Amino acid sequence: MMARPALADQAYAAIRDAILDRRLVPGATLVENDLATMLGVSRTPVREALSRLQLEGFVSRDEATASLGVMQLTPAQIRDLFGIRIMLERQAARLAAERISDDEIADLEALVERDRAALRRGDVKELAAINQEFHDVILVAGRNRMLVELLQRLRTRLTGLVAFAVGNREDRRRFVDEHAEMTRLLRAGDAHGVDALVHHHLEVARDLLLIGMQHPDMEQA
Amino acid sequence: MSETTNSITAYRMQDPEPVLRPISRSVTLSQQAYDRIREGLLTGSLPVDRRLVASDLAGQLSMSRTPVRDALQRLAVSGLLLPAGGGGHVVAVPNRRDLRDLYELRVLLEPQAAELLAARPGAERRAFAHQVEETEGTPAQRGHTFHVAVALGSGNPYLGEAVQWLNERLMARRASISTRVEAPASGHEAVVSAIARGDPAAAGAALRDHLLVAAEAATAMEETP
Repeated sequence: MMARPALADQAYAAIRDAILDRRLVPGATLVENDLATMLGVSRTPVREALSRLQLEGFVSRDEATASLGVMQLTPAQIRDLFGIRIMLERQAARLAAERISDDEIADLEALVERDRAALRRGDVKELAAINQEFHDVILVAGRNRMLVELLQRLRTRLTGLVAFAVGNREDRRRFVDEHAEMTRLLRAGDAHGVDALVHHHLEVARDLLLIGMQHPDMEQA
Repeated sequence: MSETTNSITAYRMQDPEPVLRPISRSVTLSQQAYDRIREGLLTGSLPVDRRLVASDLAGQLSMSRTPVRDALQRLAVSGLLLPAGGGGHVVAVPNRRDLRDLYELRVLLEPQAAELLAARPGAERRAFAHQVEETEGTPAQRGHTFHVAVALGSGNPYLGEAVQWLNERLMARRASISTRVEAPASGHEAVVSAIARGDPAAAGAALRDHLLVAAEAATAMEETP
Protein backbone atom coordinates (compact mmCIF):
# COMPACT_ATOMS: atom_id res chain seq x y z
CA MET A 1 0.00 0.00 0.00
CA MET A 2 2.89 2.38 0.57
CA ALA A 3 4.18 2.37 -2.99
CA ARG A 4 0.81 3.07 -4.59
CA PRO A 5 0.35 6.76 -3.81
CA ALA A 6 3.70 7.54 -5.43
CA LEU A 7 2.76 5.66 -8.61
CA ALA A 8 -0.65 7.32 -8.69
CA ASP A 9 1.05 10.71 -8.24
CA GLN A 10 3.39 9.97 -11.13
CA ALA A 11 0.54 8.83 -13.36
CA TYR A 12 -1.37 11.98 -12.38
CA ALA A 13 1.58 14.24 -13.22
CA ALA A 14 2.26 12.47 -16.54
CA ILE A 15 -1.34 12.71 -17.77
CA ARG A 16 -1.75 16.26 -16.52
CA ASP A 17 1.44 17.39 -18.29
CA ALA A 18 0.30 15.71 -21.50
CA ILE A 19 -2.95 17.70 -21.30
CA LEU A 20 -1.15 20.96 -20.50
CA ASP A 21 1.34 20.39 -23.32
CA ARG A 22 -1.57 19.51 -25.60
CA ARG A 23 -0.20 16.06 -26.45
CA LEU A 24 -3.65 14.96 -25.27
CA VAL A 25 -6.12 17.28 -26.95
CA PRO A 26 -9.58 18.31 -25.68
CA GLY A 27 -12.09 15.59 -26.44
CA ALA A 28 -9.52 12.79 -26.62
CA THR A 29 -10.92 9.62 -25.05
CA LEU A 30 -8.97 8.32 -22.07
CA VAL A 31 -8.98 4.56 -21.71
CA GLU A 32 -7.59 3.27 -18.41
CA ASN A 33 -6.05 0.20 -20.01
CA ASP A 34 -4.28 2.10 -22.78
CA LEU A 35 -2.92 4.71 -20.38
CA ALA A 36 -1.69 1.98 -18.03
CA THR A 37 0.14 0.29 -20.91
CA MET A 38 1.70 3.56 -22.09
CA LEU A 39 2.84 4.46 -18.56
CA GLY A 40 3.98 0.93 -17.79
CA VAL A 41 1.91 0.69 -14.61
CA SER A 42 -1.16 -1.22 -13.51
CA ARG A 43 -4.67 0.18 -13.84
CA THR A 44 -5.09 1.08 -10.16
CA PRO A 45 -2.77 4.11 -10.07
CA VAL A 46 -4.18 5.25 -13.44
CA ARG A 47 -7.72 5.04 -12.08
CA GLU A 48 -6.69 7.09 -9.05
CA ALA A 49 -4.96 9.66 -11.25
CA LEU A 50 -8.00 9.97 -13.51
CA SER A 51 -10.43 10.53 -10.65
CA ARG A 52 -8.19 13.26 -9.27
CA LEU A 53 -7.92 14.86 -12.73
CA GLN A 54 -11.69 14.69 -13.00
CA LEU A 55 -12.13 16.52 -9.69
CA GLU A 56 -9.71 19.20 -10.87
CA GLY A 57 -11.49 19.67 -14.19
CA PHE A 58 -8.84 18.32 -16.55
CA VAL A 59 -10.91 15.29 -17.38
CA SER A 60 -14.66 14.95 -17.77
CA ARG A 61 -16.98 11.99 -17.74
CA ASP A 62 -19.62 11.54 -20.40
CA GLU A 63 -22.53 10.37 -18.24
CA ALA A 64 -24.31 8.78 -21.18
CA THR A 65 -21.44 6.49 -22.13
CA ALA A 66 -19.53 6.46 -18.83
CA SER A 67 -16.33 7.17 -20.73
CA LEU A 68 -13.65 9.62 -19.68
CA GLY A 69 -12.14 12.24 -21.96
CA VAL A 70 -9.95 15.33 -21.86
CA MET A 71 -12.24 18.23 -20.90
CA GLN A 72 -13.56 20.01 -23.94
CA LEU A 73 -15.84 22.98 -24.34
CA THR A 74 -17.29 24.71 -27.38
CA PRO A 75 -16.66 28.45 -27.86
CA ALA A 76 -20.34 29.06 -26.96
CA GLN A 77 -19.90 27.14 -23.71
CA ILE A 78 -16.74 29.09 -22.93
CA ARG A 79 -18.61 32.37 -23.46
CA ASP A 80 -21.42 31.20 -21.18
CA LEU A 81 -19.01 30.02 -18.50
CA PHE A 82 -17.09 33.29 -18.60
CA GLY A 83 -20.40 35.16 -18.53
CA ILE A 84 -21.18 33.92 -15.05
CA ARG A 85 -17.56 33.70 -13.93
CA ILE A 86 -17.18 37.42 -14.69
CA MET A 87 -20.34 38.29 -12.72
CA LEU A 88 -19.09 36.32 -9.72
CA GLU A 89 -15.48 37.52 -9.76
CA ARG A 90 -16.61 41.14 -10.10
CA GLN A 91 -18.86 40.63 -7.08
CA ALA A 92 -15.96 39.06 -5.15
CA ALA A 93 -13.73 42.01 -6.04
CA ARG A 94 -16.35 44.57 -4.94
CA LEU A 95 -16.80 42.73 -1.64
CA ALA A 96 -13.05 42.32 -1.20
CA ALA A 97 -12.53 46.09 -1.54
CA GLU A 98 -14.53 46.43 1.69
CA ARG A 99 -13.54 43.23 3.48
CA ILE A 100 -9.90 42.43 2.59
CA SER A 101 -7.39 42.20 5.47
CA ASP A 102 -3.90 43.71 5.61
CA ASP A 103 -2.41 40.21 5.53
CA GLU A 104 -4.24 39.44 2.32
CA ILE A 105 -3.02 42.69 0.75
CA ALA A 106 0.51 41.59 1.69
CA ASP A 107 -0.15 38.19 0.08
CA LEU A 108 -1.24 39.89 -3.14
CA GLU A 109 1.84 42.11 -3.12
CA ALA A 110 4.08 39.05 -2.70
CA LEU A 111 2.30 37.32 -5.58
CA VAL A 112 2.85 40.33 -7.83
CA GLU A 113 6.60 40.10 -7.03
CA ARG A 114 6.60 36.40 -7.99
CA ASP A 115 4.57 37.33 -11.09
CA ARG A 116 7.30 39.74 -12.21
CA ALA A 117 10.07 37.23 -11.60
CA ALA A 118 8.25 34.52 -13.59
CA LEU A 119 7.62 37.03 -16.38
CA ARG A 120 11.35 37.80 -16.61
CA ARG A 121 12.14 34.07 -16.82
CA GLY A 122 9.34 33.54 -19.35
CA ASP A 123 7.95 30.78 -17.10
CA VAL A 124 4.43 30.38 -18.49
CA LYS A 125 3.40 27.52 -16.19
CA GLU A 126 4.45 29.47 -13.08
CA LEU A 127 2.52 32.51 -14.35
CA ALA A 128 -0.62 30.40 -14.73
CA ALA A 129 -0.21 28.99 -11.20
CA ILE A 130 0.33 32.46 -9.71
CA ASN A 131 -2.66 33.78 -11.63
CA GLN A 132 -4.88 31.16 -10.03
CA GLU A 133 -3.51 31.92 -6.55
CA PHE A 134 -3.92 35.65 -7.05
CA HIS A 135 -7.57 35.40 -8.00
CA ASP A 136 -8.19 32.93 -5.16
CA VAL A 137 -6.91 35.46 -2.59
CA ILE A 138 -9.38 38.07 -3.88
CA LEU A 139 -12.13 35.49 -3.92
CA VAL A 140 -11.56 34.49 -0.29
CA ALA A 141 -11.18 38.15 0.73
CA GLY A 142 -14.80 38.71 -0.40
CA ARG A 143 -15.82 36.72 2.74
CA ASN A 144 -18.69 34.98 0.98
CA ARG A 145 -18.19 31.23 1.42
CA MET A 146 -20.95 30.36 -1.03
CA LEU A 147 -19.38 32.54 -3.68
CA VAL A 148 -16.07 30.72 -3.22
CA GLU A 149 -17.74 27.33 -3.55
CA LEU A 150 -19.85 28.29 -6.53
CA LEU A 151 -17.01 29.88 -8.45
CA GLN A 152 -14.68 26.97 -7.79
CA ARG A 153 -17.29 24.60 -9.21
CA LEU A 154 -17.57 26.66 -12.38
CA ARG A 155 -13.87 27.36 -12.76
CA THR A 156 -13.03 23.69 -12.54
CA ARG A 157 -14.49 23.32 -16.02
CA LEU A 158 -11.90 25.74 -17.37
CA THR A 159 -8.71 24.42 -15.73
CA GLY A 160 -7.94 21.91 -18.47
CA LEU A 161 -8.01 24.69 -21.03
CA VAL A 162 -5.46 27.04 -19.46
CA ALA A 163 -2.87 25.77 -21.92
CA PHE A 164 -4.77 27.57 -24.67
CA ALA A 165 -4.92 30.93 -22.91
CA VAL A 166 -1.23 31.75 -22.81
CA GLY A 167 -1.26 34.82 -25.05
CA ASN A 168 1.97 36.43 -26.22
CA ARG A 169 4.67 38.12 -24.16
CA GLU A 170 2.96 41.49 -24.33
CA ASP A 171 -0.36 40.00 -23.13
CA ARG A 172 1.40 38.36 -20.22
CA ARG A 173 3.17 41.58 -19.22
CA ARG A 174 -0.14 43.46 -19.28
CA PHE A 175 -1.74 40.78 -17.07
CA VAL A 176 0.97 41.16 -14.46
CA ASP A 177 0.61 44.95 -14.54
CA GLU A 178 -3.12 44.55 -14.01
CA HIS A 179 -2.53 42.31 -11.00
CA ALA A 180 -0.37 45.08 -9.51
CA GLU A 181 -3.07 47.66 -10.23
CA MET A 182 -5.81 45.45 -8.69
CA THR A 183 -3.72 45.15 -5.54
CA ARG A 184 -3.37 48.94 -5.37
CA LEU A 185 -7.13 49.47 -5.87
CA LEU A 186 -8.01 46.91 -3.20
CA ARG A 187 -5.60 48.54 -0.75
CA ALA A 188 -7.33 51.87 -1.47
CA GLY A 189 -10.77 50.25 -0.94
CA ASP A 190 -11.84 51.34 -4.44
CA ALA A 191 -14.71 48.90 -5.11
CA HIS A 192 -15.78 50.57 -8.34
CA GLY A 193 -12.25 50.71 -9.75
CA VAL A 194 -11.34 47.11 -8.96
CA ASP A 195 -14.70 45.90 -10.30
CA ALA A 196 -14.07 47.59 -13.66
CA LEU A 197 -10.52 46.27 -13.89
CA VAL A 198 -11.49 42.67 -13.04
CA HIS A 199 -14.22 42.91 -15.68
CA HIS A 200 -11.76 44.02 -18.36
CA HIS A 201 -9.07 41.55 -17.22
CA LEU A 202 -11.39 38.54 -17.51
CA GLU A 203 -12.85 39.60 -20.84
CA VAL A 204 -9.33 39.70 -22.26
CA ALA A 205 -8.59 36.29 -20.69
CA ARG A 206 -11.75 34.87 -22.29
CA ASP A 207 -10.83 36.26 -25.71
CA LEU A 208 -7.26 34.92 -25.47
CA LEU A 209 -8.64 31.49 -24.62
CA LEU A 210 -11.06 31.57 -27.56
CA ILE A 211 -8.31 32.67 -29.95
CA GLY A 212 -5.90 30.07 -28.54
CA MET A 213 -8.42 27.31 -29.13
CA GLN A 214 -9.10 28.36 -32.71
CA HIS A 215 -5.40 28.44 -33.49
CA PRO A 216 -3.84 25.90 -31.14
CA ASP A 217 -0.54 25.91 -33.01
CA MET A 218 -0.08 29.67 -33.07
CA GLU A 219 3.26 30.95 -31.82
CA GLN A 220 2.78 32.06 -28.24
CA ALA A 221 6.33 32.88 -27.22
CA MET B 1 -24.19 20.75 -22.06
CA SER B 2 -25.17 18.69 -25.04
CA GLU B 3 -26.89 21.07 -27.44
CA THR B 4 -23.86 22.91 -28.82
CA THR B 5 -21.37 20.40 -30.09
CA ASN B 6 -20.84 21.70 -33.62
CA SER B 7 -17.37 23.18 -33.24
CA ILE B 8 -15.89 20.40 -31.12
CA THR B 9 -14.60 18.67 -34.24
CA ALA B 10 -12.22 21.58 -34.81
CA TYR B 11 -9.90 20.34 -32.06
CA ARG B 12 -10.78 16.70 -31.76
CA MET B 13 -7.80 15.59 -33.76
CA GLN B 14 -6.79 12.20 -32.42
CA ASP B 15 -8.89 9.31 -31.18
CA PRO B 16 -11.55 8.35 -33.68
CA GLU B 17 -14.86 7.65 -31.94
CA PRO B 18 -15.40 3.98 -31.15
CA VAL B 19 -18.32 2.46 -33.04
CA LEU B 20 -19.82 0.96 -29.92
CA ARG B 21 -19.28 1.90 -26.32
CA PRO B 22 -19.92 -0.31 -23.32
CA ILE B 23 -23.20 0.33 -21.55
CA SER B 24 -22.67 1.15 -17.91
CA ARG B 25 -25.59 0.15 -15.72
CA SER B 26 -24.02 1.46 -12.55
CA VAL B 27 -23.73 5.06 -13.78
CA THR B 28 -27.32 5.08 -14.91
CA LEU B 29 -28.49 3.65 -11.60
CA SER B 30 -26.45 6.03 -9.48
CA GLN B 31 -27.74 8.92 -11.58
CA GLN B 32 -31.28 7.71 -10.98
CA ALA B 33 -30.63 7.42 -7.26
CA TYR B 34 -29.11 10.92 -7.27
CA ASP B 35 -32.11 12.43 -9.07
CA ARG B 36 -34.65 10.67 -6.90
CA ILE B 37 -33.04 11.55 -3.57
CA ARG B 38 -32.70 15.17 -4.64
CA GLU B 39 -36.28 15.22 -5.85
CA GLY B 40 -37.47 13.59 -2.60
CA LEU B 41 -35.75 16.25 -0.51
CA LEU B 42 -37.16 19.06 -2.65
CA THR B 43 -40.72 17.77 -2.66
CA GLY B 44 -40.65 16.83 1.01
CA SER B 45 -41.32 13.13 0.45
CA LEU B 46 -37.94 12.63 2.13
CA PRO B 47 -37.94 14.64 5.38
CA VAL B 48 -35.00 17.03 5.42
CA ASP B 49 -34.41 16.60 9.16
CA ARG B 50 -33.77 12.87 9.07
CA ARG B 51 -30.50 11.00 8.76
CA LEU B 52 -30.03 9.52 5.29
CA VAL B 53 -28.56 6.04 5.32
CA ALA B 54 -27.76 4.09 2.16
CA SER B 55 -29.30 0.83 3.36
CA ASP B 56 -32.68 2.47 4.23
CA LEU B 57 -32.84 4.44 0.99
CA ALA B 58 -31.85 1.42 -1.08
CA GLY B 59 -34.97 -0.30 0.23
CA GLN B 60 -37.21 2.69 -0.48
CA LEU B 61 -35.81 3.12 -3.99
CA SER B 62 -35.70 -0.63 -4.74
CA MET B 63 -32.02 -0.46 -5.64
CA SER B 64 -28.86 -2.00 -4.35
CA ARG B 65 -26.76 -0.01 -1.91
CA THR B 66 -23.87 0.77 -4.23
CA PRO B 67 -25.60 3.30 -6.53
CA VAL B 68 -27.34 4.87 -3.51
CA ARG B 69 -24.08 5.25 -1.64
CA ASP B 70 -22.59 6.76 -4.79
CA ALA B 71 -25.48 9.23 -5.07
CA LEU B 72 -25.18 10.28 -1.41
CA GLN B 73 -21.50 10.92 -1.91
CA ARG B 74 -22.15 13.08 -4.96
CA LEU B 75 -24.80 15.06 -3.08
CA ALA B 76 -22.25 15.60 -0.32
CA VAL B 77 -19.65 16.80 -2.84
CA SER B 78 -22.14 19.32 -4.19
CA GLY B 79 -22.69 20.60 -0.66
CA LEU B 80 -26.32 19.57 -0.21
CA LEU B 81 -25.53 16.89 2.36
CA LEU B 82 -23.06 16.63 5.18
CA PRO B 83 -21.47 13.36 6.34
CA ALA B 84 -22.92 12.42 9.71
CA GLY B 85 -20.86 9.49 10.94
CA GLY B 86 -21.44 5.78 10.41
CA GLY B 87 -21.77 6.35 6.67
CA GLY B 88 -24.94 8.41 7.16
CA HIS B 89 -25.66 11.90 5.84
CA VAL B 90 -27.81 14.85 6.89
CA VAL B 91 -29.12 17.75 4.82
CA ALA B 92 -26.89 20.80 5.22
CA VAL B 93 -28.85 23.58 6.92
CA PRO B 94 -27.52 27.07 6.16
CA ASN B 95 -26.69 29.21 9.19
CA ARG B 96 -27.23 32.97 9.38
CA ARG B 97 -23.94 33.77 7.67
CA ASP B 98 -24.68 31.25 4.88
CA LEU B 99 -28.07 32.90 4.36
CA ARG B 100 -26.46 36.31 3.90
CA ASP B 101 -23.98 34.78 1.44
CA LEU B 102 -26.64 32.87 -0.49
CA TYR B 103 -28.98 35.85 -0.84
CA GLU B 104 -26.09 38.15 -1.78
CA LEU B 105 -25.51 35.82 -4.74
CA ARG B 106 -29.15 35.29 -5.62
CA VAL B 107 -29.68 39.06 -5.77
CA LEU B 108 -26.66 39.27 -8.08
CA LEU B 109 -27.48 36.42 -10.47
CA GLU B 110 -31.24 35.91 -10.62
CA PRO B 111 -32.25 39.40 -11.83
CA GLN B 112 -29.68 39.09 -14.63
CA ALA B 113 -31.17 35.72 -15.56
CA ALA B 114 -34.65 37.30 -15.64
CA GLU B 115 -33.35 40.04 -17.94
CA LEU B 116 -31.85 37.48 -20.30
CA LEU B 117 -35.01 35.40 -20.32
CA ALA B 118 -37.20 38.46 -21.03
CA ALA B 119 -35.03 39.11 -24.11
CA ARG B 120 -35.47 35.56 -25.48
CA PRO B 121 -37.83 34.76 -28.39
CA GLY B 122 -41.58 34.78 -27.66
CA ALA B 123 -42.00 31.02 -27.89
CA GLU B 124 -39.44 30.44 -25.13
CA ARG B 125 -41.04 33.08 -22.92
CA ARG B 126 -44.48 31.52 -23.39
CA ALA B 127 -43.07 28.08 -22.57
CA PHE B 128 -41.67 29.51 -19.35
CA ALA B 129 -44.99 31.13 -18.37
CA HIS B 130 -46.77 27.87 -19.13
CA GLN B 131 -44.34 25.87 -16.99
CA VAL B 132 -44.78 28.23 -14.04
CA GLU B 133 -48.55 28.05 -14.35
CA GLU B 134 -48.54 24.25 -14.48
CA THR B 135 -46.31 23.77 -11.43
CA GLU B 136 -47.97 22.00 -8.54
CA GLY B 137 -46.98 21.34 -4.96
CA THR B 138 -46.40 23.29 -1.79
CA PRO B 139 -45.55 27.01 -1.96
CA ALA B 140 -41.96 26.03 -1.19
CA GLN B 141 -41.76 23.67 -4.15
CA ARG B 142 -43.44 26.13 -6.48
CA GLY B 143 -41.03 28.82 -5.32
CA HIS B 144 -38.08 26.60 -6.03
CA THR B 145 -39.37 25.63 -9.47
CA PHE B 146 -40.09 29.25 -10.36
CA HIS B 147 -36.60 30.52 -9.53
CA VAL B 148 -34.82 27.64 -11.23
CA ALA B 149 -37.04 27.98 -14.34
CA VAL B 150 -36.10 31.65 -14.71
CA ALA B 151 -32.41 30.81 -14.57
CA LEU B 152 -32.59 27.80 -16.88
CA GLY B 153 -34.58 29.95 -19.32
CA SER B 154 -31.80 32.54 -19.47
CA GLY B 155 -30.08 30.66 -22.29
CA ASN B 156 -26.86 30.32 -20.25
CA PRO B 157 -26.89 26.76 -18.85
CA TYR B 158 -24.11 27.55 -16.36
CA LEU B 159 -26.10 30.44 -14.95
CA GLY B 160 -29.02 28.02 -14.67
CA GLU B 161 -26.83 25.51 -12.87
CA ALA B 162 -25.49 28.13 -10.45
CA VAL B 163 -28.95 29.42 -9.53
CA GLN B 164 -30.21 25.87 -9.13
CA TRP B 165 -27.34 25.16 -6.77
CA LEU B 166 -28.03 28.30 -4.69
CA ASN B 167 -31.72 27.41 -4.42
CA GLU B 168 -30.99 23.82 -3.46
CA ARG B 169 -28.75 25.02 -0.66
CA LEU B 170 -31.87 26.68 0.75
CA MET B 171 -34.12 23.65 0.45
CA ALA B 172 -33.69 22.46 4.04
CA ARG B 173 -34.70 25.91 5.20
CA ARG B 174 -37.57 26.19 2.76
CA ALA B 175 -39.06 22.90 3.88
CA SER B 176 -38.93 23.77 7.58
CA ILE B 177 -40.52 27.21 7.31
CA SER B 178 -42.49 26.65 4.14
CA THR B 179 -45.75 28.49 4.57
CA ARG B 180 -44.56 31.51 6.49
CA VAL B 181 -41.58 32.80 4.54
CA GLU B 182 -42.65 31.85 1.04
CA ALA B 183 -45.33 34.55 1.31
CA PRO B 184 -43.58 36.91 -1.14
CA ALA B 185 -44.56 34.44 -3.89
CA SER B 186 -46.96 37.22 -4.91
CA GLY B 187 -43.86 38.92 -6.32
CA HIS B 188 -43.58 36.14 -8.89
CA GLU B 189 -46.55 37.51 -10.85
CA ALA B 190 -44.82 40.81 -11.61
CA VAL B 191 -41.77 38.90 -12.88
CA VAL B 192 -43.83 36.54 -15.03
CA SER B 193 -45.82 39.34 -16.63
CA ALA B 194 -42.69 41.40 -17.38
CA ILE B 195 -41.12 38.31 -18.99
CA ALA B 196 -44.33 37.60 -20.93
CA ARG B 197 -44.35 41.08 -22.45
CA GLY B 198 -40.60 40.93 -23.13
CA ASP B 199 -39.50 43.76 -20.83
CA PRO B 200 -36.01 42.89 -19.51
CA ALA B 201 -35.56 45.93 -17.25
CA ALA B 202 -38.92 45.40 -15.53
CA ALA B 203 -38.35 41.64 -15.18
CA GLY B 204 -34.95 42.17 -13.57
CA ALA B 205 -36.24 44.89 -11.23
CA ALA B 206 -39.28 42.85 -10.17
CA LEU B 207 -37.19 39.80 -9.34
CA ARG B 208 -34.64 41.90 -7.47
CA ASP B 209 -37.40 43.47 -5.34
CA HIS B 210 -38.89 40.06 -4.66
CA LEU B 211 -35.53 38.64 -3.56
CA LEU B 212 -34.72 41.59 -1.32
CA VAL B 213 -38.00 41.02 0.53
CA ALA B 214 -37.29 37.29 0.78
CA ALA B 215 -33.72 37.94 2.00
CA GLU B 216 -34.97 40.24 4.71
CA ALA B 217 -37.64 37.75 5.78
CA ALA B 218 -35.06 34.93 5.86
CA THR B 219 -32.57 36.80 8.02
CA ALA B 220 -35.32 38.15 10.28
CA MET B 221 -36.60 34.61 10.85
CA GLU B 222 -33.10 33.59 11.76
CA GLU B 223 -32.90 36.33 14.42
CA THR B 224 -36.20 35.39 16.07
CA PRO B 225 -36.66 31.69 15.44
